[in-house]
Amino acid sequence: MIKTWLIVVFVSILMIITLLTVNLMLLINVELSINFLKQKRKVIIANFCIDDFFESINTILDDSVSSSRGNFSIMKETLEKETEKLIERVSKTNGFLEECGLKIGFGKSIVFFNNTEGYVIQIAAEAYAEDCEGLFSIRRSSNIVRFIPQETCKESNAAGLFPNNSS
Amino acid sequence: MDFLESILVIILSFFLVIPVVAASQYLELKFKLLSDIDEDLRVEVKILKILDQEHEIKNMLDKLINFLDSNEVEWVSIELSSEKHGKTTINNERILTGARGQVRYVKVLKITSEDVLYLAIGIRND
Repeated sequence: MIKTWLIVVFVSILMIITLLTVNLMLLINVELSINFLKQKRKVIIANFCIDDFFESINTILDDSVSSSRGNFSIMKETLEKETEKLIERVSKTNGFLEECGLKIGFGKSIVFFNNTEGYVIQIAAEAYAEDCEGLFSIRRSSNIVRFIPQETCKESNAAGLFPNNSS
Repeated sequence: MDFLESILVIILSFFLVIPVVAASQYLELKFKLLSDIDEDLRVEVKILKILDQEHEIKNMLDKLINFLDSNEVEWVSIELSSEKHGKTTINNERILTGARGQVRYVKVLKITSEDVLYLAIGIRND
């Protein structure tokens, strides 16, 4: 005959196992959610930084064009100097980004050329973000182009500064 | 014999309950961490939007404080630093952290064509 206390012990063990299993399942779900939110946070920070970088290049290009008042050599010099400064500034953010678990690299290349109607300044900006744990990476690029009609150019030797690319 | 059996059942139950209680407490801590991370993420996204909209430091700080207060975020300090404007720190006198009070930080970064802005908001960790 089965003793009463044996039934109690058996039922208790069964209940404990059920409770522990439920707890474990909840724990796994919470851990997954925490990791998901951490990754989401990193992606949000990386995207905002890259957007800011592209937006800054856009602003610098606008400022350089407007401040040069048709003088292309000044515009070219200002643009190159300011974009270099920007790259230098953003590279100083590496420490902060590493604290957030991110590595972001920024790059740019500026191309000047002219065609029959005017002058074109094209900036190819690129950013590469990588999670320090290697879980994701983002590569984004942006082509920022400004067209300046020939009649707004005050400088006589502007054509010399811009390689011909009328094709 | 009955008495001994009862004692045995009580002791066994006691040892079986311990892992459940420990697991539950750990789970509670994890849920708290999850809710903190969720709150921080919401605050962070909103802050980044405010930084996008406002360019004046004073207006930016006013909007930030207004947002934090209206959303009942228990912020302890706001530290804003940039190359151009230097460092600005605002402490919230209404929130007392106490001797053992812990503070967690929400940190964001804003890159502009002229400056890089670092913002750290200290939030009381209950």
